[in-house]
Amino acid sequence: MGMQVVATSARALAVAELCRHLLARYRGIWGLAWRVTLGSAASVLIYCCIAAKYQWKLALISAERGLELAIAVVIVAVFLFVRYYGVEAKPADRSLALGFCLYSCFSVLNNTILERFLDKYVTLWNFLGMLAFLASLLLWAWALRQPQAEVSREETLLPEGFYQTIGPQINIRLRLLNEQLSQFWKTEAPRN
Amino acid sequence: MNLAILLFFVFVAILLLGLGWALRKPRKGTKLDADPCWLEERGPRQVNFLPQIRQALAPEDYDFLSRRAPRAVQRRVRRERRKVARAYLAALRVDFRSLLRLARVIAVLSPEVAAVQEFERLRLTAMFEWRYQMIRWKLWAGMASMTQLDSLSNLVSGLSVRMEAAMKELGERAAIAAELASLRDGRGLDVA
Repeated sequence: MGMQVVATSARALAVAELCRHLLARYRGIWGLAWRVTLGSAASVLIYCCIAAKYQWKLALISAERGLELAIAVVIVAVFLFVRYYGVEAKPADRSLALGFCLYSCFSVLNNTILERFLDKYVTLWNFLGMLAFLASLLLWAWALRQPQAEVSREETLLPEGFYQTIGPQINIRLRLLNEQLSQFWKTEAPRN
Repeated sequence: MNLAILLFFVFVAILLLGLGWALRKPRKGTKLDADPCWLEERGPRQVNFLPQIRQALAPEDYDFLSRRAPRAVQRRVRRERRKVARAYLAALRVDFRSLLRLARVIAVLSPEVAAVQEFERLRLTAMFEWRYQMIRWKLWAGMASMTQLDSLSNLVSGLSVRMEAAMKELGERAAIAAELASLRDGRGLDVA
């Protein structure tokens, strides 16, 4: 079980590194993204602790499931950021993330079933776990089949204060559009 | 199967769907353009057609027709006006999206991003999309009155003028920012 903890922690670190690699070039977005993803991961962990209902016999399985779920949430959250802001993600990064996420999701499901049917499911649990790991390994090997080019450390950024000046102005304009649309929606008049 | 297990399965399904959506290849033109000069060329193009659209939605024309033209013609005119209103709504959405894209580019290229502003923008986007769809549906169903169509024309006319001015200002600021950034790269000028 000690090795399991080391392996899961190592995977968590690898996912953190992948996230940093994807977004750290954009300092502002990265600052927001790591707070949001970490907050989501913490919420998931808390939920998993509550869902475990203090069954000490299954504490390790529950802890692992919580950590795996948190890893999956972090990956999905970071890729939602990538998508929303239109940041470029290389195919290799996508495949790596997909492998990590699929493995974590599978582990969550596998552990959830194991928790319920502890005695009958252990052999199948081992077999399916191995299968999921091999599938993820294949995905990672495919993603890294070619050497990866080094990316520049940071993009050329706008001067500080630019966002603080323009950001709220844009939001005001977006709000104006919304308000006008709302007025249009609410306007009541007799039909011609 | 108890509720906790079901919840885990649902959660994993949502995560996988989210990841699938986030990993989808972005549509052409939605990828981040890191060149700030791109901002200069953007603007609410619909403002160019504003006089024609206002003319098409003017209530005086409709009053005139209701006195002189047969019912069939009036119905046709009403249909055509709704078509114009729908097109105008779509144009409004284009303006909204272009403003949103501008905000994202600025956020990505900023060294610091405020979470409040970003979440506010997300909320405004969701609200806009909801209202837009509702109004569109209302127009399709023929439930929008002529007064509403007229209020839409007033809405966009005021807004477009403000947006045009804002976009011009933003474009100029972006050009200055790009110039500063190139100076910083070339001569080691610290603008921060």
